[in-house]
Amino acid sequence: MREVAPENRGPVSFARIDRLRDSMRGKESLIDELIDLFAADLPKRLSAIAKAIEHDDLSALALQAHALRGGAANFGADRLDELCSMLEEIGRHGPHAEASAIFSQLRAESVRVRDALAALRSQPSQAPPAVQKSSGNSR
Amino acid sequence: MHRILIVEDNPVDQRLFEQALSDPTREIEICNDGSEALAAFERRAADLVISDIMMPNMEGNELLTELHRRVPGLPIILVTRFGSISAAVAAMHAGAFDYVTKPVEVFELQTRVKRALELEQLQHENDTLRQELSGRFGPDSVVSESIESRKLMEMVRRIAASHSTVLIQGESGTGKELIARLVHYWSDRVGHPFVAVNCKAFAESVLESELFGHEKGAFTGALAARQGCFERATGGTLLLDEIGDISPEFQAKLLRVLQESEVLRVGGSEPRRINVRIVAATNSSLKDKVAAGQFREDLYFRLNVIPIQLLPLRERREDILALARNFLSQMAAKTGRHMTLDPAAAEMLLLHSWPGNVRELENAMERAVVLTRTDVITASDLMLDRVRAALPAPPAIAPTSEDLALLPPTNEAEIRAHRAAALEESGDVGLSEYLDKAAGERIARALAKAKGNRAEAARSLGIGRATLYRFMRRLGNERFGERHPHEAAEQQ
Repeated sequence: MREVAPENRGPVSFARIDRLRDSMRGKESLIDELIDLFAADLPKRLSAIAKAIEHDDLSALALQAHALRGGAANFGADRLDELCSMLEEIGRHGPHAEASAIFSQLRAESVRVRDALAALRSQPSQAPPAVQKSSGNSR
Repeated sequence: MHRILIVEDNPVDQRLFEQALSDPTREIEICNDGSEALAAFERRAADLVISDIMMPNMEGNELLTELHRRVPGLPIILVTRFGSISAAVAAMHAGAFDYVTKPVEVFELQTRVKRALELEQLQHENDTLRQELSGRFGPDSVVSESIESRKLMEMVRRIAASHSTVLIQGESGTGKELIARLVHYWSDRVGHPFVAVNCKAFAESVLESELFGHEKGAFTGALAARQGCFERATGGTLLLDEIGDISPEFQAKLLRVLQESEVLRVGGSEPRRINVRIVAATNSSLKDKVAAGQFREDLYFRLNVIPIQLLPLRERREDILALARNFLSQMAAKTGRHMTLDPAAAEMLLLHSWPGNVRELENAMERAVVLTRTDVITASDLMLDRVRAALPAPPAIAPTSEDLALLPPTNEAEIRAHRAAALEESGDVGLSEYLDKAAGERIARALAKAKGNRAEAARSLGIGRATLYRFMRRLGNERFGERHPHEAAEQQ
């Protein structure tokens, strides 16, 4: 199985979310809305990925992983992004033997991301600057 | 209102893009995949499409190809993953207008979309102007009914293909600028600027700066450097109108520019190479000015490489009705009306001497369109008598027999005396005969085309039947075959 970088960072990037919030001034509720949309979409995506792995449907695997990745990237969910990227690669080029193991990690990470986002909902970013720097999530 | 299609299959990006781009001047539609996007586009075309590259059913590049098959050049922004340079390069190769990377930076997305829409707007305006230009200056856009005008158009076509300097001479209102534009638009310089400058409209010091440009600080008020007409017309055509009115000093400066193919901006020290076709125009005779010592002979020869002499309208009367109808339809089209000339109005147009040439005719038609209460222009709508009365002096042209027929008999002797004097003075003895000949030829052609049907011939000539009979009687019925019963009765 391919190595995933050890998890030494937060599930989402506060800096990224703050930047998104700043760029959408006057539409403060949008971030909450995006979090809700991500949370609502997540079970469907996970289910579709599981089904694609189960049925060896590689193209569906690539598409679903790509879509989940796109949504997650907006919140700086880099680890989830990475795991999705691995599944997307498997979907494109195989081999798919590792797909189930990666998917287990992905499911766990997605729960962390969802919970982190839920905690941020309707609240300003709470992470102090020092934590943001050490998290290494800022782009 | 700009219509934007966002093609994206994850709901977070759908909502983010929609909110980032929402604006009262935009209508945004979200599509989940390429098939939905094509269906939305079929329902109503969009001004811009933003699409993810990887989507179910149809990939972004495939969608791009399909959309470009429907609307070539439609701006499409493809969305790729951050770091996926190969996908971005492929997108641009495939004809995408631009690309953005995920996760999308809102400001970047907004900037790229704004640029794409501005460019689309410019493209649209450009297309509209091109269509307008091809309509106004297309090969069939110029009314040329008379033999003289047809010959002129043929000559302009040949001249346009060359790169030689052209000198257009003709009375005011004969269409010198139109001919200059045709020389440009029918040439291979068409994609470059056509710049027209009226040399008479500027004081000499200003004219120099206008034509050659100036450097910053060259004179009081020269706050910034400015290109002159020669530079602005690079690759294209420069019309120097009213060239006969420039001073001897400026003639020398212009001659130097034409000889060297270089301009020196006012206050500048570096000459700049120019690549401009020169078309000069004047309503005076440059040759006479040269003879009178008012125009440099060397400049005259430099400009007079291909001379075009435009005839006044009174010397190509066959164009009058065709031009009048053309102006009428152009003006009527602006108001959504269909307008016609009644026979008396057509006759009056043919009889008028048109000292102001085509411009006067255009004004007369515009006036008539404004004044008429119906869709038929009558002689009184033209108001030509009043205009003629307001002119400073009568034109030096002999009235025709129709002119005389319109006047009260008491004035006829006076008119005949005036006519004789005018003929003697102008030496234009053959004008009446010339006009009669031209009218006779037109009538004969129309009758032949209508297989002798006079009503039809009159219609095709744009005159009433009574007018046609009058013309035929005056020109000699025998020229047109069978005599009219009225005429036969008159002779009995």
